[in-house]
Amino acid sequence: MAPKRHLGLAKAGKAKRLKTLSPTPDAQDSVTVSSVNKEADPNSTPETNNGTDIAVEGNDQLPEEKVSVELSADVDINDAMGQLRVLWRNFIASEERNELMVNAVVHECDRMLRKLAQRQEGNIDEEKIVLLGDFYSIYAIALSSLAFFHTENPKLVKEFFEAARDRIETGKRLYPDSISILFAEARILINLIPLTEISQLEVDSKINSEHKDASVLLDRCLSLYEEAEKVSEERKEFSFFNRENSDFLDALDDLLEIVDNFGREHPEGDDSDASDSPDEVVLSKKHPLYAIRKTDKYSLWWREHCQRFLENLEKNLEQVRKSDDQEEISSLINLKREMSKRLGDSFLAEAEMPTTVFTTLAYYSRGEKEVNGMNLEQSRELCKSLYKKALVYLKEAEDEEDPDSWASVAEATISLGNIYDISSEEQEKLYKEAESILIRANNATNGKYESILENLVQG
Amino acid sequence: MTKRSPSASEESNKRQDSTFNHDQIVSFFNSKIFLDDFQKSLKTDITESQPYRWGTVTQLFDDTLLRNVRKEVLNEIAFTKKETDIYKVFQSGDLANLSGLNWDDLSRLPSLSKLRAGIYSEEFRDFISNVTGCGKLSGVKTDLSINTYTKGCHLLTHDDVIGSRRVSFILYLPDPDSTWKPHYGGALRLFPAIVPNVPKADFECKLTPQFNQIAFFTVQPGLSFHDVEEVRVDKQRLSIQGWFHIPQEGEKGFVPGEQEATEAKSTLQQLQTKELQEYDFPKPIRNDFAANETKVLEKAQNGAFTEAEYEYLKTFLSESYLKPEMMEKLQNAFIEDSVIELKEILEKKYADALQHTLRTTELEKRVPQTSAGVEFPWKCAVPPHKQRFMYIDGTTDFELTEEAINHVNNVGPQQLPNFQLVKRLADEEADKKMLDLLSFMKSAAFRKWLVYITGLFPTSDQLLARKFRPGQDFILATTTDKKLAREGELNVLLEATLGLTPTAVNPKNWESGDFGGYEVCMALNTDSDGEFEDDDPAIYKASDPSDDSVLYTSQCKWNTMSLMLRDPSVLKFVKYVSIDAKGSRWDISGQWNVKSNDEEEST
Repeated sequence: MAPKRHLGLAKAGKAKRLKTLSPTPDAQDSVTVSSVNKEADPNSTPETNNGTDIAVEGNDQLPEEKVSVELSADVDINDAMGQLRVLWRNFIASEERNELMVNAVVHECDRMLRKLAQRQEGNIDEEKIVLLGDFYSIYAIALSSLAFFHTENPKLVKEFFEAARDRIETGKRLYPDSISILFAEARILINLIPLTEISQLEVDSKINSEHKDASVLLDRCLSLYEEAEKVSEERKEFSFFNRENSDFLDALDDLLEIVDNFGREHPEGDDSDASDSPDEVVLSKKHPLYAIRKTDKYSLWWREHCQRFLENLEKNLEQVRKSDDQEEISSLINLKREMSKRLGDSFLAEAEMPTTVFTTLAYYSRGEKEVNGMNLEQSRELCKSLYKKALVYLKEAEDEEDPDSWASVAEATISLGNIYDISSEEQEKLYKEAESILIRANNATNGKYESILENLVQG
Repeated sequence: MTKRSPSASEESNKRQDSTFNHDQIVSFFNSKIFLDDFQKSLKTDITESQPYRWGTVTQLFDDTLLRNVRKEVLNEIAFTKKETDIYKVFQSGDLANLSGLNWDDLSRLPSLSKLRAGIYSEEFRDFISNVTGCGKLSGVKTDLSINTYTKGCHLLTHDDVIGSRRVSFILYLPDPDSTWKPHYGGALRLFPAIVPNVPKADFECKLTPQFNQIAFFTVQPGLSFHDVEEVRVDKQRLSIQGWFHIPQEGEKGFVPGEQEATEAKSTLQQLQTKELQEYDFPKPIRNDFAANETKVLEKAQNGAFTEAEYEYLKTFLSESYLKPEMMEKLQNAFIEDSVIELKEILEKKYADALQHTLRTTELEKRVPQTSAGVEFPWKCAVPPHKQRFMYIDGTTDFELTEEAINHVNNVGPQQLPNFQLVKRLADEEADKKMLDLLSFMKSAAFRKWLVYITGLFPTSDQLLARKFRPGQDFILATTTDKKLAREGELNVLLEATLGLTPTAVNPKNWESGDFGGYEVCMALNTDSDGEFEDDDPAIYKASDPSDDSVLYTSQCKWNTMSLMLRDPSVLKFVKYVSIDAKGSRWDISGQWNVKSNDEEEST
């Protein structure tokens, strides 16, 4: 028996320490003991600590900021490149990407370069540092990502992008065949458009020597991505269709939204879900964003390349399944669901206009035969086609653990049902299908879908 | 409990507002409230209201005035998020927040100034006095605060009884241009009482608030229990709430000594509520082990199990935790810190099957929405101004009525838990599996393992399987009894929480803290003699900001056991689980009285 006396939590708490113990699967006879006091808990995220602090009013002590990375069992602790990849992936996958995490990546890249330089002077140690093309791509994207945290300082933003470009150039020179660098170049350019171009624009800005036509930059950026995509497919290197590179498509989606909303006044805090969104601001033909906004070419490009990405992701998944890397498999499956959801939503968004046309002509018509160039049957067929496509992707996005994903399928099914004649066999069948999904989703979410369900059953 | 309602820290102002004349005051209101017929009809409604006397008026104020108040409030006032065991709310006018609202200087807020003058005007006070029949109200002692409840905000059950409060009111100001729908949440819910000071588990009456609607009730010690349902949507449920106090010296209706008498009554009522444990379920009762078993446990040798014990233990526990070296390390850590967490405690295959079963149950079956819906072997923990959750204690169920409770407490069979028999009666696979684990934790082998892990000898136990349902369940901060030790025992409890929340397999579902369900232990202040102050558990609220009173916090966990040596000065609570949580918090909670092997340690 241990010689010390039992104190009780209150007294022991004064030492402010708590031991976390876990058996290690590979070495069952050993135990890892880590000190995790609540101010700086390397096993918990800052959010966990917030959970504690909320109970103590006025306690505004912030947890000491640290970056911690959980290495997977496969990563050699002495493999600097392996660790850098994990650090980078954690940043990309984290919901709240923070500057601290990007800084950690940049510092690690700097450290690795410094250490290699020291080795040339004869300092040798156990750490394995083998740089590949993706070193420069991570380094460059991390530098460009730092710009997001300093948007109030255009000079600094510019410097970050110059440094990023410099790393890309070095990477290209040293690794001319690197696919990773091709993806990175596209990724940096798509960061650059909002941060250095759009951020400088006003509603009345015009294309001139200071403000370029943003569509030219965007076209270049998309062609860089296309090149990376093509080379990966040709060389059957499907591992590039991963979370890191899917980030480009997310960034494009965000960019198109920024352009669509450019110049709009955002209502202050209250009623963020108000249905009446402010009107779109009209831009002159000479405005640097006009060319992007006037066409749906970019939205279609986004959708087409998302679909292509999903196909390639499936091939990546096939290969990873053979390796039985459960962590990676689960990460790729989640990515597949997220992308499928976005694609499904994009078809739903596209269906909004024809649905309005259909509803107007079917139920509120005052003798009109056409709205927006479509008659009743044309709008009905278009809606059906779009809702069916949406459903394909929303079903792909379904997660047994996420009742909201089931409900998305149910809601799209109801929308499809609405397009059929009232009380028709097809409509009843679709409503019934949606109802059974919603009942289950409603149970699993404590009544979140109660009102939709009631509406459906009453209707 | 009442001290922890969000406005408890508000400073009452004592200043008669004489800026506005009678005609102006009347113009602030909807003229209908000054009509005899309206007042008569409202008075009848209030007299007949349930579960206690309360009333509501729609379109109370002049619409333009109230819209302007809302604009001023949203544009000019800083709101601070406040969260404790009993609420989460964004509040104005916090004394600690310099940018908050200064009720003595409303020059920036002309419409709010009119509103306050209107509320505390003689005209409106007389209206309230008349329709509630509560007697005269003070116009000088004002007591207002502004709160906004956004998604996830809530206020759990309390009765508002403090000091000289006579009438509570809430004026609602959600978006004036849209209807506040019931599924947005944020309703005011009123609870009937089983007996005075003990609210029933479920609310009886629910008011979905609309813009320019007021709800009010006479503060009735031991009866006026209410809560604010969690808001489910990203909308501002803004409200101005406050109290009318009894008349102060120099005012009409002032009765010498009434203030002191009312305050004394409030204090007495709070004490009674605290003392009244007859209606608390589950009760903190630990059943003694047989004397011969205690002796066997005291003779347990370091880390040694019989073959049969080992075989039995390893069907439930990860073998890593059965190795003598591991157990010794754990014991040293436990003695050092009085708390340890054992991750992946259950054997992997067993744990995987359990997780699958519990999660499937959650996805396929909606959790009971009322206490009456809770079915054997589960029961509903009560009363809701202290706790609400589902639990299995291994005894038969009973109705939560005065008569049935009296029977269980004082008349009927005094049962001991028997988890194995209960398992035979259970229908659901998930319940059977929980009962298996409860039986395991009752086993002689498990108790021996506990001795090796903690270096303590358990003498009695209480085991509960618990389920905290989203949108319903919590335990407010509470201590244990002050005197825990019987002869030869330490004045502490050994407590185990076996985290079995199936959705915590993905830590992201809980780690933000936004969905509650976490357990917090805090230190209660102690006086100079080291004795803790036997006061309202909410004392931590007033503690110094730099005071590091949080001793331990734990998010909902999967397959993790925390072991803790809890002394009577430790406050513990389980935060209300948000309705938007991915699932329920599941756990098994164990408590043991313990002896030490060191005679000097024990009392």
